[in-house]
Amino acid sequence: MSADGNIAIQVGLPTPTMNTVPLRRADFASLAEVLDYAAHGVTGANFYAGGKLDLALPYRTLRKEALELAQRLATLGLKRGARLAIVAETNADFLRFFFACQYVGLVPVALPSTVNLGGHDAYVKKLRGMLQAAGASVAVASEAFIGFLGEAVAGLDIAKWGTPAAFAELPIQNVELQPLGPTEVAYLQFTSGSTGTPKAAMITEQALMANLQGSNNHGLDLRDDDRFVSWLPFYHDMGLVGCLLTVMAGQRSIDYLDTREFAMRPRRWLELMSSSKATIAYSPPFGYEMCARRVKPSDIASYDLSHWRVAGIGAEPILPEVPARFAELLAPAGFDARAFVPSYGMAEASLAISFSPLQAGIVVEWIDPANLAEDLIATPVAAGTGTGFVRCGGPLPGHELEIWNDAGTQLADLHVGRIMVRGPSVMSGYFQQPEKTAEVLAADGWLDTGDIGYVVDGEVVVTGRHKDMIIVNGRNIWPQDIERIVERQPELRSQDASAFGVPGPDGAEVAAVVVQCNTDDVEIRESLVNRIRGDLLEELGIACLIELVPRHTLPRTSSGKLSRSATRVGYLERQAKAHVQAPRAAAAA
Amino acid sequence: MNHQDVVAQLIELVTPFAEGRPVVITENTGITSELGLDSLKVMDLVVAVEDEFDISVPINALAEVRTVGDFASLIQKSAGENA
Repeated sequence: MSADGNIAIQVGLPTPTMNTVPLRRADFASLAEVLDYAAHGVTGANFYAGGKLDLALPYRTLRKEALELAQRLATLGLKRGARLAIVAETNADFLRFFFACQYVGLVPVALPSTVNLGGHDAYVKKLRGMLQAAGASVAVASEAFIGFLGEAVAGLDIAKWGTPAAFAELPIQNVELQPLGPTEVAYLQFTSGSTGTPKAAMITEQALMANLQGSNNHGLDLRDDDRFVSWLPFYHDMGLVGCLLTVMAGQRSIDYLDTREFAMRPRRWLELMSSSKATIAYSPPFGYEMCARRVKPSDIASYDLSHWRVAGIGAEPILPEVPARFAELLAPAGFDARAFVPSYGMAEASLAISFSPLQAGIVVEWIDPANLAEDLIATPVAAGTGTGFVRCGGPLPGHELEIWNDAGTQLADLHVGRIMVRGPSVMSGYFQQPEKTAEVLAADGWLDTGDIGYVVDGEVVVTGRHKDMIIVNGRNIWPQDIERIVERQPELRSQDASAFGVPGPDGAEVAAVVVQCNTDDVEIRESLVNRIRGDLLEELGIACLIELVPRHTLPRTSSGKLSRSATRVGYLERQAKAHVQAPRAAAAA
Repeated sequence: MNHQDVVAQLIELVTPFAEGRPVVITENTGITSELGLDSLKVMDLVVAVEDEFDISVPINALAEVRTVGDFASLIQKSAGENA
């Protein structure tokens, strides 16, 4: 018998797939109710490290620990709705604190646990900006991250910060806990926006539950033999909502792999899928690509991916060849290409906006790129010609999705415009940023997703995205962040840098920045390029093509602002002329 | 393990990632600034280092690593803790 007094939970083994209580698909009013019900069963969350089970955490144990921690947090005497920020690593402490907040009436907010090589100062600054943007009263980090957190909270009005062990020393106050209710904010989710001005979406319990009901029923058609695997970080909306809250709202077991371990050894994801016979896992296209690129052909026969019925794919534009390559490579391991479920979503809509129909796989729309760019119309062409976009399904029940032109008029099918969404899972706004909220969320409830696309057969097709955003290695990079970092160099001024994305040698996007400087001194130029490259890698972790041009040569718009698109055109023209040189050599010139 | 030996081994490991830039890699070469390794390449380098030295590199400690020499010191420290 386990310590919990339940014979169905065995020490040293992961929590079982089959539960002892009937499956309920997210028909709860709040996350506290979600965990209360899940705790009646035997399923739970399992954490793996180095290919071995590190900890099995049944939901019933999680509930007990979260309630105890909630009693300790209650002694801090914080105002209801105060924010608790936690550096989110893939471990049980994140779950304990997240749900302790639910029970005691605090609002959790996940902070990233990613540091770049040499990136100490940049990371501290980022944490600090997020703590301020969330107005955090409490901050938590593991032993590994507490040093950074300590620097980040210096001078901020924080009631308590420390490691989980420090919180475990708080006395227990046996008060009557009042969990967060349906109209209260369930958590804050930082968006993928510019790191210079972090924005946190406020998601209420009822908005979240509407989304979880959509994913449990319409999206995944959850079954009592489903099991999840995830390597996505909890500070990412797909990791938090898709791979924790969705899972618990359906009382399923999940096996977690640390994100860093996946990045280092993607095969661990496939090994875990195989050994746990998991049926559901999500990833951005980037994750499937990493697997396809790094998996050893000789290992494929050892995987068993035949149970994988939902391979969610989304969170960034989907190039059709990425899932196709993965499916082809792993077909011998039993992977069924029909398992792919392209989906579309964002933090501002809790998570999912649309799911493709189950068992349909990837459906590619082949479109004439000229008509698309010039007339904003999707004209179908023969398969394999033109540009391929992936259908992402219709909106969740109870939600509306429309395509609008810039004047706010709804467009007909196949006409390209702004993707607009309305429904119960949309955020209440960005925390303490009414102006930023008003830019995207109208009083009548329509959310401007910032993405561009069209609708065909009731399914959304995303053809473009937020203006200017660059996606490198699966991460959203904002040109203003690159420019800000570049312009910090002492010999540069504001408006001396213009950044944008360009196609790299293998078709993937690469960041490029054109920098104005007025010296011809080769040594100074070389030193400048090295410093810029180093700062970008330390702060953003991306390699960037860097071109130096004379001062007063960056093109501007009629209003005098730097024009990224015109700079990009000029850059590509210069590169084409110099195409005999390798891109690297040209960049370092 | 002597520092200079670790540096020499590390230079061998890092050279393929640097794609020929710069020509000469020393203890003082900046891994990001001069070699231009992005976050994915850094992960690959960490895998190579962990395999080569049979250690586990603490991710948070990478925040303090700027040069080849810094990384070598971290490797020595990690190896010492494992021993």
